[in-house]
Amino acid sequence: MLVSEKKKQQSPILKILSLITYKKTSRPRSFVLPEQNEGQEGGDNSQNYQAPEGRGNEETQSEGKKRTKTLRKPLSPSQVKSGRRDVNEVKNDIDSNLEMIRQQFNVPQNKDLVIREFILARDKRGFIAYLDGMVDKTVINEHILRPLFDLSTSDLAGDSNSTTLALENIVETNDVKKLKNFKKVFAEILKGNTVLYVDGLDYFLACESIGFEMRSIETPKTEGVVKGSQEGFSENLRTNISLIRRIIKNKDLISEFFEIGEKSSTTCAVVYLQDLINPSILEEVRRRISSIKTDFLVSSGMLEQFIEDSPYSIIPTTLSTERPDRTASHLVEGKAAILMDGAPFAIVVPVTLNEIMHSPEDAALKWQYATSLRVIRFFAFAFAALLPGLYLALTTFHREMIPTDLLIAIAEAKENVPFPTLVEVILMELGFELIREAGIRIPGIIGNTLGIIGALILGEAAVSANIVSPVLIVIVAATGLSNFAIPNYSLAFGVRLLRFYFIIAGCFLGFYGLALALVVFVLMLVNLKSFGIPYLSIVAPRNKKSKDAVVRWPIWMQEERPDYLNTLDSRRQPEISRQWTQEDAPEPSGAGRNKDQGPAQQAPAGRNQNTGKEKESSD
Amino acid sequence: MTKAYRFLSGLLIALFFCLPLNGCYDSIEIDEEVYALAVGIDKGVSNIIRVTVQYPTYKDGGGGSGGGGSESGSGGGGEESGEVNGTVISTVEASSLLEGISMLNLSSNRQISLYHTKMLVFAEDYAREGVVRYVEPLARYREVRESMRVVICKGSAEEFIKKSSDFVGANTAKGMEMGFYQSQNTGYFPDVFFHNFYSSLISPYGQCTAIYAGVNEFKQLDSQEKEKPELHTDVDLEPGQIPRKGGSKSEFFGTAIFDGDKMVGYLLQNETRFYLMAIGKFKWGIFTFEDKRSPGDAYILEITSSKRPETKIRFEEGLPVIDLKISLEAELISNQSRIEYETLDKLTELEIEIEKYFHDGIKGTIEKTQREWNSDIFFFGKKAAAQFRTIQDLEEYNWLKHYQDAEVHVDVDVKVRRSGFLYKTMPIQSTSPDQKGRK
Repeated sequence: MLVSEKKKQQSPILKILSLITYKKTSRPRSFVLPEQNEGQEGGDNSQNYQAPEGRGNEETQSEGKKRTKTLRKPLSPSQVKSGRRDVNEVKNDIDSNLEMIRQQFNVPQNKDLVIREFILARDKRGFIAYLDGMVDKTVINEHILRPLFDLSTSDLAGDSNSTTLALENIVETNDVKKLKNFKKVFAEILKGNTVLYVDGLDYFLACESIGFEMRSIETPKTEGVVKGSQEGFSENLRTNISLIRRIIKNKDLISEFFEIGEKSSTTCAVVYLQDLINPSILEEVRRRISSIKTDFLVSSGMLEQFIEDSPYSIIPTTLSTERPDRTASHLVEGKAAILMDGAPFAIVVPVTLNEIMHSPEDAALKWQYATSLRVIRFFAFAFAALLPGLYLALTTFHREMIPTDLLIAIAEAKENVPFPTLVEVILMELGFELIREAGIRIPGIIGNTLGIIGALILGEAAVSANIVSPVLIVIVAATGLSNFAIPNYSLAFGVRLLRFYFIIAGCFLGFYGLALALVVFVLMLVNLKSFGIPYLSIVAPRNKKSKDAVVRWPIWMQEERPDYLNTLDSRRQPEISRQWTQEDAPEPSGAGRNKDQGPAQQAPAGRNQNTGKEKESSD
Repeated sequence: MTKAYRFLSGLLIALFFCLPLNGCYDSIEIDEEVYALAVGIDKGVSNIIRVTVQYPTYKDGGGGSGGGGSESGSGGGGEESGEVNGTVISTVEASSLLEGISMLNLSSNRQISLYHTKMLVFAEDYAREGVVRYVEPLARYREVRESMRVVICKGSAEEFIKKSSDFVGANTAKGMEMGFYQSQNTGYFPDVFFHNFYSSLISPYGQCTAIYAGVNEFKQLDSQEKEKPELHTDVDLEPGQIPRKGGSKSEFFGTAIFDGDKMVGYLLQNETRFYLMAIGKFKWGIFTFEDKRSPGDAYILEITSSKRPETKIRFEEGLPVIDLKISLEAELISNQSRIEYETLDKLTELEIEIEKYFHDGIKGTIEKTQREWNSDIFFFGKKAAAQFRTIQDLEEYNWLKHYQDAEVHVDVDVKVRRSGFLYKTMPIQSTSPDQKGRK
């Protein structure tokens, strides 16, 4: 009895305690990057994308309970279709196959699908099917149809096996696939390939004939640089991967393909360097991408939202870039890039705040210039987020901190302005955002000009109409400029919103409020993760010092890859990468690929001065 | 779980609404206040205190330009409104300083803030009766800028503030700041901040000083001409007596000396320079010396301090002995007699001569503070405190009282390091045989 009484007495305390003690929540499994050689669980999730039709029904139902109600709706027609197993197998008579394709593509209504029937060598019926507009017609005419019509009966003699051999040899396209499953057949047609069927076979032959209009490679629009490559990604996935492959000529560069989108069936590629990337990160990327169930995916921004760690964070946790060279440099660090057909952007994961603040040009500049640029960029980050808030806090709470002359000037200028400072600030900020948004929508050259002129005229007019004080124009303009100095578009967006958060904090509680707001913001940052990597890595948690954080040290000092990525090979270059600094440097012809062990052993430190120097400074 | 979440979120919201209770809700728009630049304290007539406050107007023209030079600061934009040089000066009689300032809110229509006050002016006769009553509330009140200067002026503080307008710039606040900055360029007055003043008031190591100032009515210039003017190198002047015309009528000149909170005397301009040298605050100044080898001619030196002064204090037979070592550097910037002082032997003579002048001056100043006022404005007490084992010993001894018993040794070291752009004095070539510099 006594015990139970005690229990009763304790229970309210325990209850209160339970509110503040840590408990595991029932949120979906989050990903934490294990150290090397730690467990490799959850591997079979990657099977998902390979056999989705088999598990589809159970999965949606079990998930439906946890997720929103919309998923509990009756199964969609396509799911019903895919549920019927036997339908997917290719029959060995031409009429049923023809009927299947016609039915699936709704042929009488759908004018895009072209089915060309013919008779081979006088007795064998056959047909090809392709989507008009997606194919290169010369390929079909010259390399598929012509060789087929040139056949004689003897070429097609024998059983079905030899026919295949023959067909594969006859068709002159460079890629030919044998498909026994209709799903795959449809996918090939949808990609722009041509499928060939000859009566009596139990498979289709998919011949590569993709050829459609697309944008050529142009200079990047949002990530321009002065020094560096001027190539940007285009909308074609293959071209984009080739752009990367042209920079990293390595057999370990692997691109895995995934189809996402029930209706759009968009191809996504995960590109990585197999001998570098931490397998757990790769596994996680695969798991996230393959488990996406949606009907439509058109931009990499949408994909980003599906795979990011913290959807409620105001700061992006993935890096989106339109530069192949930047993507390549991240791949070589041991990261994965996700490319999507139809999107001229690569999503690089995982990233840290530090890396997002880097500009693609940094590596090309001398380290002193790059460092100063980075310092400015970090200042710009602080200014863009804090300046209006600071101004509000200063003028309404901490007037003793403003130099007297400036204070009197501000007061004088504000004499005829009827609004409190908060209203002024919000008016101007909104005005500025308005101009920016309108500038994007207004077509052509007028857009850019209007942005600048609009800002000037609006500001000037607002001052002379006594709506805002002139100091505020300076503040808002400086904030806007700082915002443009942030190298990442998404991050700049986040900072624009953050600014209003700090304005509120500064307006109601002064520096005290700003300090509180800043603490909350930093807590949020510390809590963020990007594919298992803490977002503020290097700072919190502290890892091995980086030679490429805020200060970018000379390139020959950057010997190791980022510690937090736990790459399979952490070394970028040997301790002495500039071998010419050594007196007995190996001859260029004899040096070969022996860099990794060579120099340090060949020339013991201290034997000549240069070696010693470089060793010291690089440490 | 939902209950707990609800409770927790309720708690968070409650905590959020606690934030405004933590202070910081005294938000005031910048133009709802006026910022007093100068505060003057005079003896009242019908009540105890008369407070004068100067604050800038927020009219067009920037930072208190307004009247400008054309009105020569003679009351400026109208005696009645008290508008001078873009600022308003208004005076009120009240029972206390802060009450007086808050009564002035009525005349300014805005709240008067002391966040940006540049100077606090006491009338001299008032300061001689004791200032602690008016200083203490300022030290305690949170809205006071502790870095304002403390000025004691001859005559009335109200008059002083009215006459102290800056004619160079359009900005009164800047004019005041720059005015105090001249302490470093001349050494004619010390730069005393309010927080230093207050901490010296309560310090057992030394006494406080203030800037001594006055109003110059421009009547010191003699109009009748003499045939041959004489050279006077060591003229001691009180504030308001500089023979000059034009510019601001106010003058900072000399040091006011306190014993406790009462002003007891003042140092003249040269004594002030010696005082600043002794405490290590002398930066730079021009000195004119009469050339003994060629009477009527002068040589001019630019003096800077080269090292911080070293003070050592020991007790001999119960009496304190002060050893003060001062190092100065000089640059010869004019040599009217054209004697070649650049040569080594002459240079040493010159140095000895200057050393003697500074030695006598500094020692004389220290002894004057001992003899006349027994006021340790040099803060020797701070060094002397090291000789006592406990605070109680020090307090029992009462340094401030025994300061006059101290024996002072001053050692001045002057090095003439440069001779300006000319490294050699060359004779002037002329037809007349008595031309100077001829050998």
